[in-house]
Formats: sequence, structure tokens, C-alpha cells
Amino acid sequence: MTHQSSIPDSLLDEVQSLTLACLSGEAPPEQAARLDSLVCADDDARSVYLRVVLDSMALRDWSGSSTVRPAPEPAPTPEMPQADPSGFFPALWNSLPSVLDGRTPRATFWMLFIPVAAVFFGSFGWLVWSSMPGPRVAEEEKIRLDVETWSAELTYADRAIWAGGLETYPKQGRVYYPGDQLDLQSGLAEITFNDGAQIVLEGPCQVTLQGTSAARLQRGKLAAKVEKDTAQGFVIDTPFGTVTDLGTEFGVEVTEETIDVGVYRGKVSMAVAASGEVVHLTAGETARADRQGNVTSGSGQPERLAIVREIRRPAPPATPARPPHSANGAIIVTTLKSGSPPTVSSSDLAQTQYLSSSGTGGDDASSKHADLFSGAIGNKNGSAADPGEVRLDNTNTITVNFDISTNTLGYDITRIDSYFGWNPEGGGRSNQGYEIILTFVDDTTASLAGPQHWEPNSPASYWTTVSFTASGGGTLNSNTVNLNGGGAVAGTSVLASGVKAITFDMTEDANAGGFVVAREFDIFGAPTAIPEPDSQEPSESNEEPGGDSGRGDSGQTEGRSVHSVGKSVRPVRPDDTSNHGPGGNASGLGEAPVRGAGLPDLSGALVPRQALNCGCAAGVLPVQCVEAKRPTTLARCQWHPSATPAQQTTT
Amino acid sequence: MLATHERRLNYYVLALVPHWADAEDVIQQTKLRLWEQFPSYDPTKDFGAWACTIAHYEILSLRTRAGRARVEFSQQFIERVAEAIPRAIEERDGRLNKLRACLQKLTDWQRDLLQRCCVADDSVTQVARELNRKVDSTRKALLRIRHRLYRCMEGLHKGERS
Repeated sequence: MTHQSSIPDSLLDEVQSLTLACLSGEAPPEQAARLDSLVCADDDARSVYLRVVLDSMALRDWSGSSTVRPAPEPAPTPEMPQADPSGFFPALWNSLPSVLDGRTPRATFWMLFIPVAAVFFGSFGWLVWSSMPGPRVAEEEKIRLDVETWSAELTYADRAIWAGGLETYPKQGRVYYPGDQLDLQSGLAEITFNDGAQIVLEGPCQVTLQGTSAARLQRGKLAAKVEKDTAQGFVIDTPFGTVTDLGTEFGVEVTEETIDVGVYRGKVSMAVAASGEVVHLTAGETARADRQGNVTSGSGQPERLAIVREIRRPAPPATPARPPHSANGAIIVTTLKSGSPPTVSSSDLAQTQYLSSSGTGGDDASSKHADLFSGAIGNKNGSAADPGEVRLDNTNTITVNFDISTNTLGYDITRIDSYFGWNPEGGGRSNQGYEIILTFVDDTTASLAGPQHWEPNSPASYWTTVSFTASGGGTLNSNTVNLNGGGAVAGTSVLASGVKAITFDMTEDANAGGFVVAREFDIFGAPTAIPEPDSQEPSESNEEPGGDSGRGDSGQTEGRSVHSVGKSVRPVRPDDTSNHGPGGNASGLGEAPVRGAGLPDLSGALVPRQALNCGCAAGVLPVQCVEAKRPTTLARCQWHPSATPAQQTTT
Repeated sequence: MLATHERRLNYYVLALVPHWADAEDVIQQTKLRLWEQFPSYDPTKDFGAWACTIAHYEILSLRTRAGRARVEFSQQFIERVAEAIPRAIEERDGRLNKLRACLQKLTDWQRDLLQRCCVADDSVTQVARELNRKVDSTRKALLRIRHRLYRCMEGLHKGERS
């Protein structure tokens, strides 16, 4: 990073653009040659190039994880009943006599190669897919984007208040479509167009978006910044003239009678509405046109127009380092509602490591707070004698303390589920709004903004479930809330580690009709481990940390699937899993191939085709061939749903 | 350790053959070659280095086969880049962490677009069609996102804008 900052922006952008064009195969020979010479000649360019390649690999894996592996229905999962691990390699081994002919070196290589390929199932595997569940949750967003074509987005707002038909307080990242009328009453807002132009509006200001690189300024002030090569031809239309950018930064102010244009950088042209005259302006110049088409060149610097050119971002708050027990900043909250009581876990940390619980408020005796960590949903109303529910409003907090007498480092929290609902009594009261406060073993705390799950017209029988899972990135859909845009714990599904207590602090949204009814909190995780020097093998070969990939949705109507938990958590008991196999294939296939437990996972692996030919044809490999991306010597594998490691023939 | 070898191989090849389709061919070819030649591998040597050596030969052979490569880079390019790769690999982990963090800073639609477009070589055209956008503007939007991401990862504040 030290020498990075000295690289001119133009070089940085050029190298990046050229690299991306080459990678995708879109670069004509002269662009490839240009990249070649830049990279050869300049150390900085070379280092930018290498980083862009690195990033592209990582991004491809991140993005491709959903297509390579669309939460396959018949895939066995780590919590399948354990079988003898030794059964696998012999089967693989015996199936390949012709290719391997029993020679030790090859055997070793084969065993080396497969687990590697399995972890990085694409040729360009890089990030462990499951740590970035973004692609899976992006479905709804995609559908929405497919029907409409957005034009621009709100990229920053400072004390902005909006009027008109759109929201008063749109969230940053709000997407606008052509024709949207932005009526900024006061404050500042930055809008970034899809083609790259950026405008800063200063209220009061009325702008209508006209596409991906045009807008009409009806009234007010705006500053536009258009980077060269990105969005030249950006147009600001006004009642008195049309300003066309020619790669520049400029300001426009429209009043009742006039338009003022000032150019900070580059050039613009202004076509005067009344006369059709075209005025060219360059940096440092201003001009005014009026309703009648009279043009006067400006009397001074464009700065005199006093247009806000840029919104200053507040400095990011300093985040104190908390190495041994940090909270993962990127959290995904998934909310579900269902008409039948959800299935809750009876073997999560809130039971296995339960020490005590406490709480305030509600209409219940404090001892009742323990019911929220009981491992059962409960089925009664709030009378003091009946366990199962706790009435809460926004003044209340609920805390669970874990037993750290043995696990003195506290716990890695991988997932938190909360279940609310007032069933079968009144129904409703299922809104979930709380903040999570984590207390670490050294008594420091961190808080995570919680769900704001609002069910205004919740049918009587609705239950709501909120799941927190960690995410390293990804797209969030409307059912998910990106809570903290901070850094994630690399390669893990751990929300926070070193935790000894969790407090749920009810927020405003918890006041549905006076109170909400909490029924159960499930907290998944495992004792925080002493860091090991090389723990790559177990953590990466285990499938689906976080446990809910592809399964969260299936629980929508019929309660939840069993929760599998993070990577290092003890195995879920067989009786928990028996009737909840993902995809429903588990019941008939008790002896389905086992993954995890250090066994190689061939799914998605690239293996020599001849190996597959004999293996698949004979039905002895627990894999089936799927077509390789292009006809080459390697093929991709997929678990054969009915194959077993030890069987020699399929029936 | 083994996963590291695979990553290293993939990166090595892609850095020297910056073209997804070509690189994938080379990698597949290399893997087959590795498998064939494994008996000659000296276990006392670094496996990853051995794999990269074999990949290097595959890359050179890709270049010499006339019309085989879709993009041609100079011999000098290959040498210069190859010698810079070890250092780039050293900063990989830190970079991935930054990438995760910076992906979070993108807006939903930016992430969505990025995700769609990174899936395959020819995604942009297809994504543009899916989204009913012009290919050109989609490509520009994508480029802008990548620029922003890069700047974010480098800690350059300008990345917040532009």
C-alpha cells in the first residue's frame, strides 16, 4: 500500500480496465499489447495488474459459488450419520486399477489432489464459498432488477429531507429509475448514475432522472462530476438550457428566470433553450442564460456560484482492536414467518452451556426468562405459571450467560435464531426488534444492531423467526438487513468469538400493540479454540459452515429444518437429523456417502476423465459425471445420490 | 497446505495468461500433466513450485502452438510477471480480507451486478440482456464498481466516489 498511493489514478484505472478486458477476452490485440508493455515497463503497473488478477479470481469464486453449487437438493450433509471413513479411499482406490496400477506415488498424488480439488471446486476456486452466502440470498433482488432498469442510485446523503412521491428518508443505496422525480427539500444528496456520472444536489432542488446519464434540473443547484471515459455525454437539461458534459466537473444553478453554469474542470457545452445558441465553456468559466435566451458570460470564478461540489464524509469512527474476541461485522439477518410452530433446537449453546439468564420487565417473573433458552418453544400464554413465553417491550432486556468454567476462552457464536409469536392465544405480537450485546470473557462488550422485523398485519397464527448468520459478503435481499458494513472474520462463519454472555436489548420496533411475545432464542456455536498454527484441513474440508445454506428457505412453511451449526461445533445428534434431511433424500438413504470428517468431497472436483469413465461406468465411484465446461481431459464430479462408498455395484 | 498449492497454481497461470478461457485450459492441461508425471515428483521438493514449473511449460507450449492462444503476451511479460508473483501471493490473505470488507461497502445493486458479471467470461453481455441494459453501459458500470472496489481495498478514499 505504501507505494500504491503514488500510482497516478489514470495509470491505475487504465491497468485495471485493460486487465479486465483481457481476462474476459474482450480486449482487441492492441489493448493486450498496451497492457503487456505497461506491465513490463512499470513496477507499479505490474503490481496493480497482479492484484487485479488476484481480485478477479476471488470474485469469480465468490460469484460463481451459486452456480457451481446451487444448494443441491440431493447432497448429503456433514451431519449425516457417520460411517466408517476408511471405507472411502479403498473404494476409490480399487476402482481405478487401470489408471493407477497400484503405484504408491500416484496413489499419494491422487489422495493429495482430490481434497484440494474438492475444496476449490472450480478451476479458479479461491474463497471458500460457504463463507460468502451472498449469492444465495440474492434471488429476490435479481427478480426485481430483471423487471426494471435502474438509472442511478443514492450514494450518499447528508441531512437530506425529501419530498414528493418517493420516500422522505431513502436509504443509501436506494435505486432510482428513469422518470423518478427527486425533490430534495434540504440537505445534500449524492446521486451516482449508472454510467458513472455523479451529481451532488443541494436542497431545495428538483431533479428528474432521465436515464442512465441524463437528468433534468427543474430548480436548484447541483454539481456534476463526470470522469473521463466513463460517462461523457452526460446531460443536465433545464428549462433554460441544456448542459452537456465533455468529461468534466461543473455546477449548475437554476432559478425562476436563469441558469448559471460554472466549470471547475474540463469543458461543457450549453445549448440555450430560447435561442438554440450553443455556448462552450472551459475550466474556470461561468455563464448565465435567461428565459429570453440572453447569455452573459460570468463575472468570475465558478466557485462564486457557491455550489456544493462534494459531500464530505465524516471520518470513520476508530474501531478499537479486540483481537482474541471480535465480533464479525458483516451479519446477515434472515427473517421467516410461518403458520405453524417452528422447530427449535434443544441442543444449542443456550442449553448445553447454559449458566443462567436474567431479564427485566415483561409481565413475568424473572425466572421465566430461562424459558427463552429452554430448548422448547412452549405453548402457553403469559400467565405466570405457564412456561414458554416472555412478554417484552422496548424497555426490556434478556440476557443469557454461558458456562465458561471449562471453556475459559468463551464461545464462538456462529448463529443466533429467535422465535417470536403469541400463539395459539391472540396471534400476532411477533415483531422482532432488538439489539444484540455481546459480552466477552474479559467483560468488554460489543453490540450488533438487531433485526427490525415488522409484521404489521401479522395473521393470528404467525410465528416469526430471525436468523443471524455471519457473512463475508454477498448480495442482500429485502428480507435481509446488512447491519454493519464492517470487516468480516476471514474464511469463517463466526459472528463473534470469545463470548460469555449475550443480551437481547429490545428496541422500539418490539412494541407491537404494547408488547411482543418472545418464545425462544437458539444460540449456536462452539467453545472458542486456542488458535492452532495450521488448522486449514479440518476447517476447509468440512462442508457448509453456518449450516443454513439452501436450507433456510425450506423451513418457511413447515417450521425450520434442523439447524446445523458452525464448523467446529459438535455433531448434531442423529435423532435430530433423521427427519430433516435437506432435499428430503436422507430418509431412504441412511447409508449415503459421508462427507466431512476429513473425507474428501469430490463434488465439483475436476478429476481426470479416464478415472471418471471407469469409475462412473462401473458405478463404483460415489460420483457421477457431469459435463465439463468445455471438452477437455478433465470432468467435473457430482455426488451420486444413491452411491455409497463401499458398494461395488449399483442396483 | 495442499489447498495453497492449488491456489498458487491457479493464480500463477492466470497471471501469466490473463484470459479466463486460455488459463482454464492451461490449468486443466497442467493438472493432467501433474497427474501423469507424479511418479517423477521428488517429494522432498516443494510441490507447489513443481506444479508451477509444469504450468510454465504448458504456458509456453500454449504460446508456441500457432493460433492456439486467444491472447498473446510477450516473453518479457511472462518473465517479469512470473518473478513478481511470489510477492503478490504473500499479500493474498490480507487482500482477501479487504475484499470481503469492501464488498460489504458496495450497495446491493452494485454487488448484484458484480456477482452476475463475474460468473463467467462472457457474463457481461448476457447480464446486460437480462437486465435490459446496454452492454456498453453495463460494462462501464461494472468497471466503475471494480475501480471502486480496488480503491477501497487500497484504502484510497477517492474510491468512495468516481
